Amino acid sequence: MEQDDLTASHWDDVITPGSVSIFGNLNSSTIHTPNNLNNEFNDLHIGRDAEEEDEDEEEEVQASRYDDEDHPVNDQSVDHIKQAELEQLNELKKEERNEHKNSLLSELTNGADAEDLLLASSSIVTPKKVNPSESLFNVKDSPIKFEPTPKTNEGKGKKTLNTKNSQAYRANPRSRKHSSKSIIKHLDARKLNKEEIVPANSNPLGPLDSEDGRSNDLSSIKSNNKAEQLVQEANAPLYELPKNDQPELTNPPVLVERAKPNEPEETNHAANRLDIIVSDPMKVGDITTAHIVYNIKTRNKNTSPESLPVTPEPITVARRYKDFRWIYHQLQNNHPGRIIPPPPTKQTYIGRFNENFIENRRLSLEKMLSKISNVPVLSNDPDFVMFLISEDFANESRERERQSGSAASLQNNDSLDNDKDDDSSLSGSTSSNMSAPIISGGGFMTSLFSISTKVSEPDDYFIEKKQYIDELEHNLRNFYRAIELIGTQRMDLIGILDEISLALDELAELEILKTTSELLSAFSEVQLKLKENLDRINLQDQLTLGFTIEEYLRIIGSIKFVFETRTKVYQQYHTFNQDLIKKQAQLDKQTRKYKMQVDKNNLLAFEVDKLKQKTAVYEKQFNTISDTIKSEVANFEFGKIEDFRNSVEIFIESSIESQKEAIELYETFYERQNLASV
Amino acid sequence: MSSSVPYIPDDDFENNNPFAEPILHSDPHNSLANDNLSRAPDAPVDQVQAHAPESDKNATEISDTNKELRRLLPERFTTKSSLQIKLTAIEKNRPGNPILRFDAVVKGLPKFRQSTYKDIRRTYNEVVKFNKYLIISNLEAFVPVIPNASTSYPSGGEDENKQLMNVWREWFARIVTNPILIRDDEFVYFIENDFGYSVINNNRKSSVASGLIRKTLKQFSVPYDEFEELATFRPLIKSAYLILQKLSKLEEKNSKTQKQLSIQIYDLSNQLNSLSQFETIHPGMKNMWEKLAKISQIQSDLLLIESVNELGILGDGIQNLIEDFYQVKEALTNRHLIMRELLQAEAQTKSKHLHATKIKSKSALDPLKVDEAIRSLEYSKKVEESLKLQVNRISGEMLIEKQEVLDFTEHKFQKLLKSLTLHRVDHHRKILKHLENIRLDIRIVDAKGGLSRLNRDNLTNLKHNLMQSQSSNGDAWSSRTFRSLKTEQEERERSREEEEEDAKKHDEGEDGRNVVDAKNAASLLGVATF
Repeated sequence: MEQDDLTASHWDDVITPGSVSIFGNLNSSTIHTPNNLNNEFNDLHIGRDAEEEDEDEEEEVQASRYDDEDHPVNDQSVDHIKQAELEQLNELKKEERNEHKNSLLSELTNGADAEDLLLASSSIVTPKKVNPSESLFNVKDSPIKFEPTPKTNEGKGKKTLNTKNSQAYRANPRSRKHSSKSIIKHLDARKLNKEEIVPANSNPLGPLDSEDGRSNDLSSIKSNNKAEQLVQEANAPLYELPKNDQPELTNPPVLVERAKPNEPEETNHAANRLDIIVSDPMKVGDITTAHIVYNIKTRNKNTSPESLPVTPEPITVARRYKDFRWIYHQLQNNHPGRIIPPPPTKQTYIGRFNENFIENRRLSLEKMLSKISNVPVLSNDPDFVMFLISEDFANESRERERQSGSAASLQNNDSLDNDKDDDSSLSGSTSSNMSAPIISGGGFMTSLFSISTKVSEPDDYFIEKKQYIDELEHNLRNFYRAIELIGTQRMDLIGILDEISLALDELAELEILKTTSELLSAFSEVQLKLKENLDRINLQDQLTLGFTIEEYLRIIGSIKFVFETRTKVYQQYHTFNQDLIKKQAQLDKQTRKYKMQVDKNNLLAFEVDKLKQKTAVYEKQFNTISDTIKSEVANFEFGKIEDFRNSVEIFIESSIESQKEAIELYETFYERQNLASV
Repeated sequence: MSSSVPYIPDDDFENNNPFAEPILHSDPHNSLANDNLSRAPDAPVDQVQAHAPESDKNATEISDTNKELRRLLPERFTTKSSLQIKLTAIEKNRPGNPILRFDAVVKGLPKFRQSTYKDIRRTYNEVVKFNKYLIISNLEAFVPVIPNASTSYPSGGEDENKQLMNVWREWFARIVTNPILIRDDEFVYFIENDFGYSVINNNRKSSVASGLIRKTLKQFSVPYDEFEELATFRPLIKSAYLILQKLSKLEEKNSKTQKQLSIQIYDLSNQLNSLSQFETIHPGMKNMWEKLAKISQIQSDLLLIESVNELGILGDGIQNLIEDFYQVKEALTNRHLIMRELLQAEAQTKSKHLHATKIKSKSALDPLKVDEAIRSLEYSKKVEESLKLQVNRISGEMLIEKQEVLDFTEHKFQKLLKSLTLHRVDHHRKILKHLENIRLDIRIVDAKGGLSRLNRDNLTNLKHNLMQSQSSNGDAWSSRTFRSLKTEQEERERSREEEEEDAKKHDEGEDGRNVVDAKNAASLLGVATF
């Protein structure tokens, strides 16, 4: 248990509890979910089940026990880290970077101590709140017991809320709808929850910018257990929040046709746990229609899936690249605000059937599908399911497209072009290309503002995020370019090494002297092996770092699209709102001035009503999208850290191995050729 | 062709046929095919007489072929005379023309007035002229070519000096161990002259064809060679020469690409830095990018150093070999030319002989004509003899020298590859060390502990498996306890007591931490290499 805490990210508190909670509740059964979260959760759950009737005290005891257990571990881990640092210090005493580290370390340890205390108190409080809710709802599903925990956070949330309040309440209408059917108490709880969501989501802004948040971050690098614990405690209720909603949602709002991104999955076990393998790329068609078809093999590990038919055998279907793009756009349309894992970029006509390219694309497609399937909302999307199992994809996709009115295939071209632009600048090595996306980004922004100059971004969060994403894209692009350049340079080097090895072989064949020949051919062999080594490490780097960066660049494209969608919705809302205000004023004037003209007044009133409705719809849509985006972006941050850390780790480890191999090659050469005696 | 016929044996043998005298002496005991040797132009060189008795003494006990060799190449069979030159310093002078300062010890060589000479100073260009003279005047030897005064290292740097010192020492050693070369008259002047030496025997022209004639002559088929080893040696050397040239170009390209790669890695480190500056949200990530940027920068520096080193070691070494091989090839060509001259001389003698017999057989004898015919026959015979002698001597010398050249080549290759290997091992070890140093930084980015955790849930300690793989008792990944760098270091320590302290520091540096400090790198890289 204690170790499990380690595995969870302690950055949760930095990002936002809200995001994690959503993340968690959506994913509880998918691979993506940090195991520990589930474990912790289940453990608690089991304990609770056994003592369901027990009183608060026991809960408290239990909780404190957890805490007690946690403390030593944390201390220990802190000690470990201290020790590690000390070792490193000794080792690298004279390096200047150590000074930096040193200071960092002291900062860390200080922070950790303080945080321990803080955490101890807060974590004890949390479970206290658990029980009332339990008794209140008496739902069998264990997670719900955590439900009311937000109360502890409530104070915090409200504090941070401030600017958000209005928005939070704006979001309320939906909850009110349901609340009419639920008990008042529950309404209260829900309200609380609603409030909780918003501050949680907006959290990142506050703490991030503040100095406190920064120092906390630093300290939590190493002593993360506490923070993790806290986050988990705080998150627990949010985590299961949607589940509570579920029973009440007898008539879910039909605002957005299919898009209810915030709506929860039916139940935890309804989520698909898909094992998707994209394999066997095959070239089909004649010269004019030649394309690659990939086999998608889907196996559902969930024994009682809702959206997928149960089959003993994995379902295998054939799809081509175009279809992947279709599902991508379809999902984009179905779930506004969601960051859909994007497919790999389109390739120029030439080189489509290049082996490396196909393999790379296959990998990307597989990753895309598995990422989609990791998000329950997406994995249960009927279009996605259809994509995975349909035998007659061409027709069905057309049908669905028509039904949803998404025009995914049309839109296809649109964003496809966008993507293409990105691609060209991505693969292009000139600096002029580099600046292209930025310019186009700016162009987008300016064009947006020139169309309706009055529309201003209502939420600072998005302004900041947009900037952040742009910068991130710019940096990643540079990064990618640097890696690519290194790759090509290494390829050159590989070619030269090959030639050197050949020349050495030739020289060896001359047999100037037998011993010389042996020496030279051995050296030639060393060069050849070095070449292979370099080749391997080069490929490895491209596949780890390069691949990850490229993927994230594509995801950034998705994010940008999501932002754009949101802006569009907001624009519409804005125009309607403007109209509404105008009409309202007109109506007021009319009713004041000409009380006689009932007809006109009625007409106006009707119009105003209609506009009000429309405005409400769009406002709601807008708010939903905004919330979704916030949580999605938080998730993105979360995933980004892990993905990049992993690929950097692989990068480092493979570099280490390649260095070892090089050393070994030379040492062996040295030894075998008796060079020591020269 | 005719231009090479008026070959003046006297002139040539005056300096270069020290065996002329011994031949006269030994002629009686030897029943050689070329019994006309006794008529070889008598231009005894003093110093040879000293060896003559010795070679005579031993001659009785040795087989015939050996005796012949001894007679032909007396200087090969004596240890009496020797010359030692010790290069002590390289003084700075105009760029590309440093002053070499050396001491010389002479033993058993005539004409030298002293036995030791101290602080002889010759500019590099003077030495080059001397070297050229040696090549022209010693046709029977493969004269080593003095390595260039410029290296691939940054000019004026410590590495360049070291390298020049080494290669020039090597050159002097090769020159003075060659018994033919040290008996060259010019050597006396080279050693004894004051500062400002110029080649004294300057007026001597190349005894073989040069320029366009040489080019034309080279087109003819190779004359018959009775020594198969030498016959195959020239093509061998020629193709080795060509391959080495190719290799040298490749080496250069390799080094250039490495340099570019290093620049690009540096660029990567810059990008990483800007990425880390921008990464304000997550300090762990920031730390990771920073560390990665630092590592890339170190790697870039190391790569740059390595590229310079590689070109300095392998590139320059190969360049030296190329020049040497070229000279060997030319010497072999000269031999061919002389052999052809011999053939021509033989033909001429034959025709003269025919002419003489024709005159003899005539009924009316014109005494004047007879006299002339006999004289010209005598003369052409003389020429033929001297050429024959020369060819024999050249062949004999070259057979020996060939072995020397091969040994030297082997040794040179070994040295080059050894030093290259050591450098590369050092290079990779440093990178490995740095890479291993930042492993923890990446693991602690978040609490999950990275991939190294391998799904082990109960792993509290993030620091597992972080051991440095290059501990003092061997490398972790192999069972070998031997380490090239270390042995090398120990040897160095043993040999250079006074530098022990320094070496030790170096040793520690290697085991403990980063060796590339800014100063080190700067001095190695010089000013304007990138």
